[in-house]
Amino acid sequence: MTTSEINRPPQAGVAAPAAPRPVAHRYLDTVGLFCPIPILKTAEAVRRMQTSEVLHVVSDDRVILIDLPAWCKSHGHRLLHTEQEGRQYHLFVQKFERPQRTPVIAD
Amino acid sequence: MPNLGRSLYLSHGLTRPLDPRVARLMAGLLQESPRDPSLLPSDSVVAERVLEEARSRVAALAGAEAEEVLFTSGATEANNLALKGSGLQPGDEILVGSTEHLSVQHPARTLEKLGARLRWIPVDGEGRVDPGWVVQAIGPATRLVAVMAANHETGTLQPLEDIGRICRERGVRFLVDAAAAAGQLPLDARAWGADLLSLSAHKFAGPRGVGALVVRRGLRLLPLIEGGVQEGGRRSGTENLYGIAGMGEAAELARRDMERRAERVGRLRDRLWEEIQSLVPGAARHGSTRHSLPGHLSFSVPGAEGEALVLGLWRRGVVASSGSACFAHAGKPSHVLRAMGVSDELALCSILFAVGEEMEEEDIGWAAAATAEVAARLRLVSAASPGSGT
Repeated sequence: MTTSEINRPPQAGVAAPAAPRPVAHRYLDTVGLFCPIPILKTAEAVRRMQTSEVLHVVSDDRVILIDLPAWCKSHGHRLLHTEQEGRQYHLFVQKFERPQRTPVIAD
Repeated sequence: MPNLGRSLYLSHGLTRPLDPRVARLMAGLLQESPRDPSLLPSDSVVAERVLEEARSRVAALAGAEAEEVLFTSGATEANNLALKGSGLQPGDEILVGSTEHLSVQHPARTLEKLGARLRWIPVDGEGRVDPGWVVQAIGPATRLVAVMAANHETGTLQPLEDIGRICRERGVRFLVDAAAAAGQLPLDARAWGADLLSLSAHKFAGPRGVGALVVRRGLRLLPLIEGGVQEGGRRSGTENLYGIAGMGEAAELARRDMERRAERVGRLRDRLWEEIQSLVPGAARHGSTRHSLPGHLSFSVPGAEGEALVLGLWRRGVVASSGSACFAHAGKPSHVLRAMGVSDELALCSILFAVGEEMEEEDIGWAAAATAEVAARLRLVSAASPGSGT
């Protein structure tokens, strides 16, 4: 199973979700990968984004429902929307200015 | 930039620097490569000789026969092959240690997605598997048990002979991930009853990107990589000749130097821990002290975030690791420590020192002092910031 990081939204024809999805600027497909790999790839993708841009993450590992909200919280980003579609989970993360998470030791 | 005035590499668990003797052998082979195409027949004869010599050497390290050694790109591929190549069908059950490396856990979870039943083998507070649990857990549908020889994060050793015996009696495949143990303590696939055993060269000072899967004679294994005749058709593709030769050399050197190295490294590690304990109040060690790899020292400093501790130490010339880079970068507590019952808060404060034989007695003092200094600063910061828990 391979993942591809595609800078476009998913194809048309997918069943419409119950609540409207936010508009995404980037799309990250992590289907087939197990946590914490999806989180690592999310961190990588968010690092390359501008503040207030939205990343659409797709995963089929249920653990992401715990890991991604926790990661957003500790890095100061916002989890805008989460939904399940069949066996896949769609999460929308909005980048905010990262507070300094790891304390810098002045030498 | 780090202080390079004085430096100490304490990350031998993650990877060991390439042994210069191995580098010399590989360089020699690279230079020998004939360029004249008409020499190709003899080139392949040379290649075969090099491969078979390496195969015997790796077999000797693993406690197996040469014909049982299958070369791969590393232990990750070996573990994937061992699991995915075992012909598991929907409904078959696999028992996997809860502290296994992700290169065992992730393919196991993929097999679960494909219909296999996956059960995690629990460990005690030291990270040890109870063979009695395995006895009662094995059922008619159980096809494979995976328990590592030694844990990569804590160094804890597993009771392999007991588990291997149970598996043999019940006709269940036994996979032993020996990547962390290789070169640190004697491996014995035969005595352990391992049907499958994985190795990675860079863990015993060999080159990166090469490893092996030891497959018990007569065991059926379906290939992941097909389409060639190499490795008896079980792992196709032109061999990484120079890497394999390097691995063979490293294997022989590891076997020869192992006892002496283990004794030295174990002594240094124990003294380092004594020193750290005296300087860092509350430092809590993880894993078994009795059943452990000689160089591993996994511990937490409550109130000092592991990643920050690693960074602070790096600035002072001490290269350590947070135990699991994967989890550290994701901000998650290590699955190994979690399985051992360590709280998330404490797990996020964990760090791994893995001592090598180049360490000197006088390094102990300043490495411990550097640890204490960084830990103290981090604890101050952590105590001062509101809502700090990690």
